[in-house]
Amino acid sequence: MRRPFSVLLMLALVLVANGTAAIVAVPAGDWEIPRRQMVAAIREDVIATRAYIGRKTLRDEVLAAMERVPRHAFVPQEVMAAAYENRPLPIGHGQTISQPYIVALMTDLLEIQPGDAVLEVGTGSGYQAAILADIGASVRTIEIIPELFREAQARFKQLGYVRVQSRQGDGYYGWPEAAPFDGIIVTAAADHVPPPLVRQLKNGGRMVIPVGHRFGVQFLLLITKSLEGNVQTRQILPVRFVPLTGEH
Amino acid sequence: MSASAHEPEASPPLLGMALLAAAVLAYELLLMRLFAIVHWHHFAFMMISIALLGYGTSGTLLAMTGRFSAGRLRVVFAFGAIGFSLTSVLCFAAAQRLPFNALAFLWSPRQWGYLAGIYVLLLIPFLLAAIGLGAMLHHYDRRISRVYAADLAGAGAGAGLTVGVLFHLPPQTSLCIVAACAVAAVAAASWHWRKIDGRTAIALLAALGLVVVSGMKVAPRSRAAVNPYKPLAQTLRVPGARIIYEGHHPMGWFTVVANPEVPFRHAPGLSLNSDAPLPDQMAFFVDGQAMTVIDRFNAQPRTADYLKQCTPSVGLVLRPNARRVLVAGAGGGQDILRARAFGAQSVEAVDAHPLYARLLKGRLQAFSGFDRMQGAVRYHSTTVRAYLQSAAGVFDLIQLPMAGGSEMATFGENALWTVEGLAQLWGHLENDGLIVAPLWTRLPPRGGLKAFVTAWRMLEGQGVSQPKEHLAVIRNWRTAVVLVGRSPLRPREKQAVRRFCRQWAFDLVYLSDLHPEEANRYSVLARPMFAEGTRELAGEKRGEFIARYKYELSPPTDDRPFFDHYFRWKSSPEIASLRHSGGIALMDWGYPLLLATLIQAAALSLVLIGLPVWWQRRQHGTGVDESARRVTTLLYFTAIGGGFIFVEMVFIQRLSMFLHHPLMAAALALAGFLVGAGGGSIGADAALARGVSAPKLLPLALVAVIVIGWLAFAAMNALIHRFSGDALMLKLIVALALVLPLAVPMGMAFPLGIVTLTAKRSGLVPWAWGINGCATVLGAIAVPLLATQTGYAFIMKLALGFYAVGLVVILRFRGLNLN
Repeated sequence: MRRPFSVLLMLALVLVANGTAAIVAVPAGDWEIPRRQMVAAIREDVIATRAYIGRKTLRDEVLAAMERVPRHAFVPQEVMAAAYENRPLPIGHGQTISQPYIVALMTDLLEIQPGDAVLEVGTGSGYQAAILADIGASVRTIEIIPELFREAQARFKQLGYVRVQSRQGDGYYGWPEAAPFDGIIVTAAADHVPPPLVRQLKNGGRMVIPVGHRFGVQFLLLITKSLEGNVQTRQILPVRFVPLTGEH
Repeated sequence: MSASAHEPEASPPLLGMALLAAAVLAYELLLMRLFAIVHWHHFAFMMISIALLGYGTSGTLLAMTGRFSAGRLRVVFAFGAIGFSLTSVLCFAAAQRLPFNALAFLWSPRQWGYLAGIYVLLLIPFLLAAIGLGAMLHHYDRRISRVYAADLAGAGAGAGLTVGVLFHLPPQTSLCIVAACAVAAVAAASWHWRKIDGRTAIALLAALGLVVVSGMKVAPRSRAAVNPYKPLAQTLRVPGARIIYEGHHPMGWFTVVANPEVPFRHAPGLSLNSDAPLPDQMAFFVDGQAMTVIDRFNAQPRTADYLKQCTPSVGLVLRPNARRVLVAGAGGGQDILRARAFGAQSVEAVDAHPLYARLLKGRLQAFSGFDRMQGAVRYHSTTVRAYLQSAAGVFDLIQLPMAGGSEMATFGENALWTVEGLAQLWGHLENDGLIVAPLWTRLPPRGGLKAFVTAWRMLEGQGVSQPKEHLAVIRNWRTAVVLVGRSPLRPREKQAVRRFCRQWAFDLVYLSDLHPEEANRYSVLARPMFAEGTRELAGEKRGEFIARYKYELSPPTDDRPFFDHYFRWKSSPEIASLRHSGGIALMDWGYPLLLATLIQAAALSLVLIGLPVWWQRRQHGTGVDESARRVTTLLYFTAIGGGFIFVEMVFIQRLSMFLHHPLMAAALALAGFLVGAGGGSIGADAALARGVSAPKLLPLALVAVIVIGWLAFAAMNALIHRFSGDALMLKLIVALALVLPLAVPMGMAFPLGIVTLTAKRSGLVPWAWGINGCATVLGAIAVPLLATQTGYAFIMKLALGFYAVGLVVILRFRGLNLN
């Protein structure tokens, strides 16, 4: 009589253990190698999607920043082991840190130069702002969730990102006193592009918005303002996929 | 082992059995609601399906521990029922604490661990209850028809009562009632057995007390445990956001959120060039998602200006000052305001969820400005198709709600977006009337193209010779709008569409005279995928294009009403290989996930069914006769378990098309089938008592299921048309008249099968009970998977095929003449 019960108990344990095995396997220590591997994965993704994203490779300074900025310092302890995997990670408060490939691509699409003024709406953990600052941009970043704002602010201070200024508040109206911006990055898409942000974009400037849910970006929306002030949008599928087959 | 051998339990405690069965079914329905709130609906479905394997597990345990449990029915039943009572609340509370996140499922291996944890936790209460119920069936195997009838009748009553309770109580509070019901089951059984003494009474009161205490701990937690990535949870993180109204209804948990500090800015399809301010808004959520808003309308002309600058307004641009507009799926009323902003004289707004109308006409009347619109706007709480069946007159314009855009909705049925649904709308248009159908778009295009081809197929079905002249499509970066004209669009109307797009920087996707260079101008894609797709779909080689497209674009029908189902097998290897290279959003993963669930459940079922056989062989060895009996039992109970659930699910779907009220259809079908089958089981008992032989009666019952099932299904399609416009009460009577005659012979199949196959071998009873449970679970998971591919008519054929297999198995078994 005891055997069947123990068999079932073992079955249950196997089921649970199967799922939890990945949780406890936490590597630690040297982050350089995983970071380089992460950048290598980004390079591979870029090569695979070059026909779609409109560039053969990402700019060296973007990849260099990805290789320098310590992503593990921007994620909670419990997911730190996965910090350099090419995937989004939860950071608490219902928010995520984006997939590194998407972060690199969005940064590249902004085409910013050292000294450019960049606005980020949705600081999150602060990783995207750190990448921008590492390239030499002067970054202003707004976060609406107070807890995330405080955590990111402390992180910027601790890691020495002096080029980043952050504030807590509603990003819909941008940062008018610092406008116009060479680049704007909105990390959480609404159902429309906030008109005040379009107005705060400098002529010749670029705005990037990822569209989709927090664990899956459907496409990137790139908004460009010509030197004459005309606005155009591009939708960029960040993956090599042709749904229309045959004679197209 | 039979009742006669163990006094005093000569007659079964039917009330106790029925109460426990009612509690279990109610628990299942409540968990479906609760997990739909906490997660997304198909995850709810998946979790509960697996957890129901508790039934299979109980059969296995009882089959393997027969000697122990046989002489201890009262203890085993009380253990099962009280155990269920306590764990139903506690295991739900524990499952809520696991941070399972459906959105991260494909990224994170630890999600599998959390999901497995939820399975195990939910399995416990079902297992305990099934042990109690199975022990009862096992013990009273000679009165099995009556016990089974009590089980079915109790489950049927549980289904009906749960829907009733959900009108008044939140599901998490209702859990306590379910738990108390299980305690009452023990009390009723003890009373029947005349075993209520002081000790039992104290034990029952203690159990009840524990249920109340644990319920009080659990009840307030359900809101806090909503998945943090669901829209409501995200909204509530914004400073200033607070829930100002919360209502429970069987159709969903309804919340209204206000935020005086950070305004909502819900404006689907708003132009990048917009210069209009957005008004104050309140947000409505159903089950923490499906956000719609209500605008503050203060009768100032500028209030609704922003709506004129959104893609969904293209129809009203063509029909300003419309005499009569129908706003389908009106929700919080944004489209009502849009119609009024364009000067619509009379607006009929329809939404199935009654709480929208109650709030707009009640406590939010001043905010919505509804009091100023009285006379011009009427809000109806019903489904759009039900409304149209009785609506008089025709409309200049029918504005549909936003559709598509969610990879979570694979198995969601959409009655509006079918060829027949669109045809019904089209039939209520003025001669120059328009249907305006906005959709969320995704890349690569899916919903927009499917909407286009569905409209095309509808127009063909209505005898329109040139569908291309009746259609127009525009888009911006997030939305698309399909326009369907009752008459061909006139040249000046096409020009008006072009002007509207030019003014607000929207892209033209389809007009019959569109030049390729007119498309893909504002929201530029690497290639004009939307325009290319619609052009192909409007061409001669439409079928070939649909066949080779990487997403499912076939037009949905009432038989296969899955508008948001885009999964195709042939594309899945390519998409799966891209999931970590920026391609995670390419996958509509509801389908593969449910398939994985089916495989998991099938593997578990095999183990559960195989264990007792292995155990039996190890203990006693098995003769040829015994093997044949086991194989027959396995095949027969798999067939009738699968057949029962298939029939039930087909009728739920068909009746929801007939009654146009999914919830009522589900309650009626569940209660009708379970109560009718209970009647059939009693009928079988009566026949056996009169000396009719079970092996002779059983094939007749199975033939009756096949014949009546076929007739009822054929008649249902005809009756849907015949009575579609009649009063609800008449339709309910017609629905019951279809269900009950079929349910009666279906209810005979299980008890007669038990008597025929397990005679003198009552050890087989719990095994058969477990097989039946496993088959039901597998069937419930398989139906949506199959229905998206084949439609429900095919499922019905399969169901009757299952019963035919059962018939063949029984006829062959009779021929074996086993001892």
